[in-house]
Amino acid sequence: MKVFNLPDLGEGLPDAEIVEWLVSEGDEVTVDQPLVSMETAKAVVEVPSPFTGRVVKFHGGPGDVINTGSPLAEFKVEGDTDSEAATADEPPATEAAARSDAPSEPATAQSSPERPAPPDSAEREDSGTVVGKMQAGGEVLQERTSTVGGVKVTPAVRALARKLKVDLAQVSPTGADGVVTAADVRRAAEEGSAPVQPRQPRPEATRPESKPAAAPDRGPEPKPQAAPDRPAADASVEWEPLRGTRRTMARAMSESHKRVVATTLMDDADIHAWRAGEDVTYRLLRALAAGAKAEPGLNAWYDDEQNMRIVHKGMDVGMAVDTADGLFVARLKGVHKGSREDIRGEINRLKENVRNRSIPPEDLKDYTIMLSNFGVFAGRYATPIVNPPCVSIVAAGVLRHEVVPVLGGVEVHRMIPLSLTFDHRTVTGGEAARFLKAMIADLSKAE
Amino acid sequence: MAEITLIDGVTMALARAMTEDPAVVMFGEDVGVNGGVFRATAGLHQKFGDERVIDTPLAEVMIAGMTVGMAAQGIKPVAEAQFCGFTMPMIDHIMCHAGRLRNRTRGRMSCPMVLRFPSGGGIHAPEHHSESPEALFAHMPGVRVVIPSSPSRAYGLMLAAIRDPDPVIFMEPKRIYRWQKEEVADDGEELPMDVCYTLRDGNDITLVTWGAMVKETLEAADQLEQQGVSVEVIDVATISPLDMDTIIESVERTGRCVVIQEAPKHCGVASEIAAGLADAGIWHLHAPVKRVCGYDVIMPLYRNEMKYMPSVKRIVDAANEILEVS
Repeated sequence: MKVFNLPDLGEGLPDAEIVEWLVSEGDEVTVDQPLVSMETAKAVVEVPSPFTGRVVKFHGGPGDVINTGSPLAEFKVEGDTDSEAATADEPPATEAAARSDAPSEPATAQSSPERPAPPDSAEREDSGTVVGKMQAGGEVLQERTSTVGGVKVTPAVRALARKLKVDLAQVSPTGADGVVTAADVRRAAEEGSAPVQPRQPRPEATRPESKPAAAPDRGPEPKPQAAPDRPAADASVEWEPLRGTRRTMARAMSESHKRVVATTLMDDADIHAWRAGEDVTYRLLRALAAGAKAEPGLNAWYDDEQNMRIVHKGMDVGMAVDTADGLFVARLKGVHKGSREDIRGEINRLKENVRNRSIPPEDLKDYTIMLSNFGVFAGRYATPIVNPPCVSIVAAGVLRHEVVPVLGGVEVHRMIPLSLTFDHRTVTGGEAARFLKAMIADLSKAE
Repeated sequence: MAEITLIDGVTMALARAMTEDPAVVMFGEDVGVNGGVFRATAGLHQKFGDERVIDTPLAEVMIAGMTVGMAAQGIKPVAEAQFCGFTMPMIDHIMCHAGRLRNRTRGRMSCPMVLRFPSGGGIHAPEHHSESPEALFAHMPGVRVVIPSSPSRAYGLMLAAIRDPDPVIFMEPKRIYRWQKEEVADDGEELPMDVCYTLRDGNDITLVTWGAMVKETLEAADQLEQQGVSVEVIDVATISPLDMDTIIESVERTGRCVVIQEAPKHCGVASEIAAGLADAGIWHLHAPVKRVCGYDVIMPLYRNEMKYMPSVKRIVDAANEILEVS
């Protein structure tokens, strides 16, 4: 038999009153299970069970005042064979001492000289030294890491980086599983190697070849490469040659920039009429075909050396596909005549091929017009770049909601922002505007 | 590394600070022999003695006055008020002296003190034991207001508060004193004040809170995540000065925000955050900013107390209300 004496419930109070037993005599209880609710001078406290076992006896009922250190309940604990020998730290006080028929009486009146001293702090800890009903849980907190700028951090390290104005994206993680540690952030702060950039755009790099021509079909700007005037702390960063797809992109963009006289028109298509789940890419491709029907001169090739052009009858669209290795432009064939299912199947096949690097070379050229759907990332309008011999490219920005005037009132409609760049050497402004108008008209249709 | 509770984190930081710096002293009602009403200073009297862990009479004005006076003379006092309600007589010293000493002496003196006390309700204590007066202190210039919400933040922020050369009001959310344990190393590493702690990353909605309401907010975030909503959770941690940048950056991404506070809604910190979003972030909002708060009443006695406390359901409902706005 184990006797549970009433612990000090918080402030050295001499006693507490039983409000309610939360278990019954004879119940099996587990350690820390709420046993009884007791009222002290300051609060109602739930007292947890110090033992796992069976409650054999209560030393009082609701309204009874129990002196601190006096028996509150007796337990039969497993393995406890010696039922008569009380194994509690103090001998149980008599029931008469513990019980009171006049709970409002000051408890000191019941104190007897034999009353045991208040239990020591070890026992108090065991039974929850609390003022009030504290939520106590055995749950162990493991805070989630989050991914910021491509690296994993805990909330504390993320806060430290903010405090020290360190850009986490530029910190090399040294923790387990690639987690950035507080030490990593402090080191970066001391070295000044990862300062948070102001939100304004960076000034131009001084050496022109250090920066590729802007690629129109990408998401956010690539991280600025180390510039010649980099701080001394950046000495470990090396210049590296562009390879593969990125080198091809750089060359193609420079070429375009030298030759094409690019002009960009921007407008929005109101897609309020669309059903939920409409296939945005398919609709953009179909709208290109509609634009070319109105103004075939944009679906054309121009040979500036011979000063000749071909206006195409069919339409193969070069779709920009963003990958870690750089930008691909993949050809979708027969957009002018394909059904919705055909075109969607073709898009999926091409994207998959590009990702697997299994795309046949002929599918990376000979498109007649270009489309970039950069809006899946961010950005509203752009000045996309025409890849010769093509003469036009359309880019779609991020879908947004906009307030539009309707019949003297206003409504909120979904919009696709469109940017059309055309080569003004072969296409007139009027042709381009009519092309864009036809696209918008097609996109505005419900289906 | 030990698994400890939030209040253990407080105790561990206090002991660490006293060991590291002989200028740190502690006083308050029953903080010494008794170890404090919630045992936050347990063991410190035995370890550091009468001169550094001092039991005071029941006289809050005196405690506050001693704190300011000692701090002005190069001692680093950490005073305890037993409950949030007992800080009201201390406000004159905090507002008119602690917060102004640096300014009043044109930088010649500062006031490196900490006033720490348990705050918040939900533990069936009387009403003036259960309030959340962070907005009162946040309104005082020159005073920093810090509220930890986890064992590691209790430890790290308490160390930062004690080492800081200016006054810090350190409010301990007593309802979660023993809610969960966390592995915290007693390595003397402080955590940054004046910045928010982003506890979860998300893209659809931002839940902003602090103190004990972090518990309900994380539970609400769990429920919303089960609905397929991507939830960002921010623990403000330092109420004043307020790091609005972290909150604005988050809401720029999510476009939706619910602020959860236990204190009454009227003129609370949640209102300040909502106003900050209206100022700097309104063009990114897809829906109104919602505040889930206590009610504008005196903290109810404990039979009605849980009706007052913002519940998980109220948070989830508020979130769903603004998630429906397209």
